[in-house]
Amino acid sequence: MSKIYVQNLTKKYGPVTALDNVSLAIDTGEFLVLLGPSGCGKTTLLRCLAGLEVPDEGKIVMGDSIVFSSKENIMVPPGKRNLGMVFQSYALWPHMNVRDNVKFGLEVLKTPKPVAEKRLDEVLNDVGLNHLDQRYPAELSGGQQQRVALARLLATQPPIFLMDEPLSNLDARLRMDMRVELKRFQSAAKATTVYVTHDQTEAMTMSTRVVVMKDGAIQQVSPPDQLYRQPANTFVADFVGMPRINLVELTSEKSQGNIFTNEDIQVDIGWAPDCSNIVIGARPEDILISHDNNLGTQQYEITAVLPNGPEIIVQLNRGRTNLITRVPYNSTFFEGQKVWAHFNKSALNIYSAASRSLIYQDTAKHTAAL
Amino acid sequence: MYLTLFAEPVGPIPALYGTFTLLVLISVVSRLPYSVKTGVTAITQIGQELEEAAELSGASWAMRFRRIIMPLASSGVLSGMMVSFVGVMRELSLIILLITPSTRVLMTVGFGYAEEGLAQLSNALILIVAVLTIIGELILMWIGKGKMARLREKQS
Repeated sequence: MSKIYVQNLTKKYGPVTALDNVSLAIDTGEFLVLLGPSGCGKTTLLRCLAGLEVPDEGKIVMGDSIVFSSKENIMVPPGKRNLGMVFQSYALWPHMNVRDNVKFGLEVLKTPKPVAEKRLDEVLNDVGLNHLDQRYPAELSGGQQQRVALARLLATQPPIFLMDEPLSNLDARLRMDMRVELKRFQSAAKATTVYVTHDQTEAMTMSTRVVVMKDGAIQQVSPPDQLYRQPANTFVADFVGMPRINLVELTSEKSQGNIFTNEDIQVDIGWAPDCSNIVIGARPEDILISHDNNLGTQQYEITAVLPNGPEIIVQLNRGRTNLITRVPYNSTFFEGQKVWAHFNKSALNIYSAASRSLIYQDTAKHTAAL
Repeated sequence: MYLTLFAEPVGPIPALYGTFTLLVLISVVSRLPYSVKTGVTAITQIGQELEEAAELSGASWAMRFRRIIMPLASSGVLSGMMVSFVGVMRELSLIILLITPSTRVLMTVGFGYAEEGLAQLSNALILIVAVLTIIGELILMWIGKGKMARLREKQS
């Protein structure tokens, strides 16, 4: 119904490449999150989809119609793309009250008045603003303004929602509530949604798939759990996850294919990748520590213990190598203690030190070697 | 030089010397940069996203201008106009050479009285000009506050 295809999209601002040959297919009803550090091109991509930015090259298809094509010289203006957008600043019209703000879109579509009024009441009721409909945006709190922006998007029932960091101006608590609501409205409307954010929690909790971008190029497109468990390269591994993943460069010793070391530590990764220089990616929860050596193979010194609600973040050190682990809140570890650490083999991700990208384990070869 | 420029009809332009049109024209031209500058500032200060939001809902350029840009920029544009009005109100040097007996304005009449030594009449005229200017300034201040500020004042 409203699938979106992006093909080889490129956009340059002078010498800066904001989008570098980006291709993407978005399914109907999907909640796709564009995630990346600032300046990675995620907002540019969204604005290209909206039609507010004209790409230099490529093609965008929405539903059955081509809305942009550099080859065929097609550029459908934003208003004709049948989509709704929530801006980071909300972009509410300050001279119109809440009702007029929401009504504008319906007026443009020349919706008959009784139908429009009915729809207005419905939408304002949905977002819980019917008692404030005569207020001006300046007289509303941030959360209420956010709801007006949402109501304005919902009023015309577009099949595609675009959202540009809509929650970044709200305080942490409100942001959590709005995440739930946004998700509820999106699934009720069954709209294909593209959502831009730099907040990984938002990306992980709301999305059906996450697109991680860096320097205008897509790094990985995956469902959130896979993004966390199996980052495609060290950039994604490092960008996703709090506290951050442990990335340690290791090399193999000739005779021992499965054992990789640096000058401080030694890790048995359980299989033998093709290259000898690797980076291991171990999430904090994938390094297990204990006071005795029934699990671990090497001793580390605890350099910091940081309690954080349900968990404690423990920093380990051995020589020049530092690791971060995560243990339950009721564990007893103290700064200065020596503990044994064990890497959970099955959860480790192995990256090539040269290309920084994930080396997939060839399971057939692995079992044969055993 | 420019005094004789429009003394005779040139092509489609009729002879303008001695007409009221010329006074209006000269005043407008001399004040245009200030008004334009204020107007442009008022329009560019409107967030780009406000117009983009309207564009996305499918509003034509004319509709966006009428419904979004004009209402938001109107106070700035109007104060730009008032700045010019207040300035032109007390203009003498610019138009004194273009005045004919049939197209006199307050300031030139006052100047005439002063020349003839009719200090009282001259002062009375200056007072009228001063009052008109002050009224202009007051309107300017009221507009400058903006619709939103007035709204807030009303609420509190």
